[in-house]
Amino acid sequence: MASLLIEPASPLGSTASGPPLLSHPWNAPIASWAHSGALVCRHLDALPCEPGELADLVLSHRERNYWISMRAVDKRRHEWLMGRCAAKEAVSLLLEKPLGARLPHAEIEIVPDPYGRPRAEGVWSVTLGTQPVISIAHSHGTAVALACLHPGQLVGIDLESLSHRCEDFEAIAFSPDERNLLAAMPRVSRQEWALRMWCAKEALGKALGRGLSAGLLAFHISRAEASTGMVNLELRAGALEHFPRLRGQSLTVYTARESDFVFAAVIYQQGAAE
Amino acid sequence: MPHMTESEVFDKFAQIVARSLRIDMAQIKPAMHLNDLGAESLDLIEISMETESQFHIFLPDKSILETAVDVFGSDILEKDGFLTDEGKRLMLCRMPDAAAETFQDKVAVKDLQSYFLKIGTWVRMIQGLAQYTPSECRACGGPMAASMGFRMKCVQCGEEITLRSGEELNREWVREYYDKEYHPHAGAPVPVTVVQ
Repeated sequence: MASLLIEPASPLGSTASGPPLLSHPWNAPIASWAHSGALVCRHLDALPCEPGELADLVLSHRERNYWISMRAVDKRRHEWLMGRCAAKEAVSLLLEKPLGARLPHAEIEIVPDPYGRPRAEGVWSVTLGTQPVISIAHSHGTAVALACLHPGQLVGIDLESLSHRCEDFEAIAFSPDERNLLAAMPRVSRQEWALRMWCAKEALGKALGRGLSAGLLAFHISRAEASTGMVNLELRAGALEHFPRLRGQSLTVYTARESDFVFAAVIYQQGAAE
Repeated sequence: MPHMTESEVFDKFAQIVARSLRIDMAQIKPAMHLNDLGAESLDLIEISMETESQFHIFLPDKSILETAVDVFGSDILEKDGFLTDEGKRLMLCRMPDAAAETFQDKVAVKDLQSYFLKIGTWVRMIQGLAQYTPSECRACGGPMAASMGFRMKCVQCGEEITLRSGEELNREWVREYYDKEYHPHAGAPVPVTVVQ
């Protein structure tokens, strides 16, 4: 699989302070946001070591027990572990400046909230007085994580492999209007745009914290711009009941292609129209 | 469609899942979750489409809880990510086969989502929806075959019917529950164990 590497990763053990970083920086998903300095995005496109060794390195005692008890196929167990690793390192780098040191992986616990959205927790959050918001995605052996420290900001990221063979999912995933947008895309990049639009829905669902449980058509794509990668979405019935303040708002999701993957990222400031 | 036992539905559904996820059928058990078998979001779409096509059913596009929240309004069934007592009563009524202890303590929305991703839950949902797919024509008794979209056509006389959607059936169930179980005592606290 082609690497998503944008910048060289810190070689194992060579960092100036704190534990070695196993994931790589991935700035593409956050490059379009003005305050990208307060955002960190990391990715892992392969297990950096044996899964058991990685679990020992990065998981807390509680997380490790959960990982051991997971009744899942290797793909799921490995991607879960890689997602945790990327998320912990994104949080650790984000907090390095305010805390004055980089936290060890095991001191950042990733736990789901009641809706299933991952949350970063640790004793450090008392010192900090705030909590970073995070989003994790994995697909086809690659994991990415996005973390942000701005109060009131919501973040969502999604990733899909272009090798995904499901070709006619558009009929179920998109409304007729959305399929018209897709039909207007250059023929050569139609499959890529179908995935970008799908990822955009997923990323927004993650940012709002409830995923796509309100139904795929409750996240309506009103605009998709091939030249910039920007996709605009509006919430419809089903999702609006949960987020009435977003009625009539157009929410912008950034999408792009990196080698064999497409991704979508959204950073939404609560209370602000984007 | 001819009546299928739970075991027959499981076998057919397991084949769909195994093919879609490229895994061995032996790995698929009723208690396993689709995401633990390696399903990603688009795999779930593919599995849904294949299930609809092979069983001649029309799956709902959202969970029964989401449909119920549409009907009941916010904060009645679920608040801050947890089921309220009213939400537990509804889910118990909807899932009488769920273990009693499932709804005794706090139930997070994510736990319900996890329940809806179970192979066994899918099998029962498919079996429930398949009973609305006729195998014989109401007009002439001839065999029905899949037609365009969510339609069935009689091979003998050409009579066409539109399949009932899972969403429509869910909404009907919720409205009936609302009218018969919730509305008569709305506002009066009722123990969770009353409705089964």
